Amino acid sequence: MNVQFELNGRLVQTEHEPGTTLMELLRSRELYSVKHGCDHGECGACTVLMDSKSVNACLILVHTVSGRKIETLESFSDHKTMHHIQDNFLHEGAAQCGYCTPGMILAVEALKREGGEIDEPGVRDALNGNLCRCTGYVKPVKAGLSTTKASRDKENAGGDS
Amino acid sequence: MWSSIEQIIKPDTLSEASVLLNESGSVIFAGGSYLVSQKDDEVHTLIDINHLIDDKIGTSGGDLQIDAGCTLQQILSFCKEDLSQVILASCPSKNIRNQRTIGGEIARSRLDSDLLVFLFAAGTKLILSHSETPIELLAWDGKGIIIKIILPNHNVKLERVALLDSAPAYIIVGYNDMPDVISVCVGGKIANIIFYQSKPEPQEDEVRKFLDEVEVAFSDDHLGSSAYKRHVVGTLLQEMAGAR
Repeated sequence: MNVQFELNGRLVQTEHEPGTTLMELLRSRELYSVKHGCDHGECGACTVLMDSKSVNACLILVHTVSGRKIETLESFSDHKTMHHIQDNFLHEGAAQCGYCTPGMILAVEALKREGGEIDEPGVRDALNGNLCRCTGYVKPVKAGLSTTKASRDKENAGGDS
Repeated sequence: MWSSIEQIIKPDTLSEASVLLNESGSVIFAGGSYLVSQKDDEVHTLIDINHLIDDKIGTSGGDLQIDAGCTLQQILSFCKEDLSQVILASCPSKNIRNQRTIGGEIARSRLDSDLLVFLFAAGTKLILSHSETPIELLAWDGKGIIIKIILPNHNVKLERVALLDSAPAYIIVGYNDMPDVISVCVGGKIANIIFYQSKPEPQEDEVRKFLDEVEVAFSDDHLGSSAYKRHVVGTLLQEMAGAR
């Protein structure tokens, strides 16, 4: 099958077998922030943004992303400076083994893009589909909350976020 | 990789999709989150109807009308407090709520779905692709393609019993308390959904008969005996009906 979609800001066209999941396709393109976790939509390690909404890439067949905008964590950084959400996760010590972290960062970014007031229940809800087996959730939630403050400060100062 | 999939067909119409569905090994593919998570080896053809079903939500004459392609997250941001809580209990993961459609949730008919029990109790109707006349969810035989869900004005209270808040409930009781009729629906780890409807003051023997049916539908397991579960359902109902 042949599909065309936007991946991390670039238009891509791909040939794939009919039952291929988006997670498999992205990892085959060396986008390894998309982790292969449970393969059943339980853990959120394969979280990506689809049209700015957080989704599990393991549950999406590639043919359904035609014309969509897909973003992975690789698009957040230029490998020299970190994105402010990454920075906040680092600052809060919100990562241990790091396997779930890309998914959590994308879940927080999706929440930020929804607009509106962001509070702890909102951050906890956003992270609800991202399982962590080592750090726990207190620090990622703190990172999520400080991220939103940081992005608001940055926006108020006229910077991009 | 869903390796058994040989082809994905995008029909031009829902009637065409219904005909294709008669082929063995074919399934309707809309949101797809349940199907892809299970990757059933016997399925070799997906009939993709994503382009044929709508995803709008609105109210009409007091009813909530939800297109089958609406995701649970879309509904969450639109609907009343009671339904929001049910959706959050049914599907705690926001990632999944962004993918799972209400049509899929109904078609899947998971007995431990809080949302399904809620919809049954509320007297939900469905519009299927082959008819414009709504049918009761209760009367739906699982055939046809759901295109719209009509949720009438309701007053449903829902109670769930689970080992953890985030775990699927093994007892779910929905109680719709309307001025002229009460409806009760019981789901969870159960053989089949149990539904009961009566006038506001049901006869004692009617209630006993209903609870007998509940007891038969539950089984004895590590979560408790079926008699215990019957007792829990009875107690929850007493509490929910207490205000009456």
